[in-house]
Amino acid sequence: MEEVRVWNVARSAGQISANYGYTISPATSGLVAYFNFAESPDGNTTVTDIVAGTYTGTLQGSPTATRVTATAPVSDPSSTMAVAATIPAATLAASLASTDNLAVAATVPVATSAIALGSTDKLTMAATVPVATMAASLVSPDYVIAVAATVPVATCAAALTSTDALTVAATIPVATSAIALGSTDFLAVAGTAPVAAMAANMTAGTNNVAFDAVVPVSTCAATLASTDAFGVVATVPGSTMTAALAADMVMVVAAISPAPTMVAALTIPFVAPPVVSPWAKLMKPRYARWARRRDGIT
Amino acid sequence: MPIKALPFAIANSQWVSLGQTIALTGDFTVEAWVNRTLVNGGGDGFKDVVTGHSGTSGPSINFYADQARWYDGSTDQVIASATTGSGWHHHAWVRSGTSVLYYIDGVLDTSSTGTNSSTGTVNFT
Repeated sequence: MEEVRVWNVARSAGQISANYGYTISPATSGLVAYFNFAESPDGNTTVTDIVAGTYTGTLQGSPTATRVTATAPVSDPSSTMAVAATIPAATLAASLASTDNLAVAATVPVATSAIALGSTDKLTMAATVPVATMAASLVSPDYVIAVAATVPVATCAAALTSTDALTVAATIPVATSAIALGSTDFLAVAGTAPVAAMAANMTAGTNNVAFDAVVPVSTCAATLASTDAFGVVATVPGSTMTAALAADMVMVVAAISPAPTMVAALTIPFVAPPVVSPWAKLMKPRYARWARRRDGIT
Repeated sequence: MPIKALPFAIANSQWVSLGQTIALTGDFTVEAWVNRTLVNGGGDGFKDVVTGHSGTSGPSINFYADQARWYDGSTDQVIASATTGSGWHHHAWVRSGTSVLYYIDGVLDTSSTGTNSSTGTVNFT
């Protein structure tokens, strides 16, 4: 036998389970006697109580028992090894419960990741390989998936529901992006290539798309609905911009070249300035009504 | 610090005599790693692990018929659900109020509630 411990308390199931495979501090509360049989030399017949020595005993019998090297799986908790794995996460099958967070820094494809996320879980992937075949399935709201990809996201098949947030930092054209956004979804695209053929499908109202483009947006075909906000930071003339703005829409253009030929069609209702009677200018206020009638103004 | 163990390989002829007896009253826990191959050569005979007596009867924690038992001097308060088998296993006996619980390898195996008010003293053989 080894690691004999006597307590004057009823240890809980959790305490027993957590400590039975490890040595324990002799100063642990409730520990009355603790024998680890580690006295030296081995022929020593003293069996020391390492709590306070109160119950130290002696080996009895004939022949006197001798110690053997312990082979029970007992280890020093301070020597517990922390393993930093550098192997593929492809087969990772972590099942996360609500409120758990998993951060995966993978240097191999996550294409076959089978991670199942529960409500309110967050998954952050720093991937250096295509996420094209990523099959993360996001269901209820509050999911956040952040993908820092250095390859096309054209085939990204992430399905987002209302209130989900998808942030894509792409360094190549997103022209073929087929991301479908729902109401109140937010898509931020930092592109360094034309977004002309971008086919983002935005639904009416409250969708936001922010383009930080360094090439002409003249052929941008984004269709914005009322109350959508469209911000373009362009470094080339916006003269040929043909974006059609509806009433109460806001368009912000920060151009570094003249925009004289801008043909944006504003449909905001024209409000005429107030008409002033020339007679009214000459008459005292009490004759103003007469003056307006004189000028045929009612 | 190297971890050592006592084999107590010869049946009932070796034991440790403590400087003072440890009274088992109220709640307590007794736990130890035991290798049944080393204790009594793995035989099925009555082999006390912790005793509160000097004769052949009395309260004890033992491995009679290779099953961990808590014997109160007249009856077994709790008997392990299975034989212990060979190799090292961790055993823990707990009295909490009127309940007696037996754990093997960190997992609760058997418990009973009732007349568990027996008291004794600890020695181990």
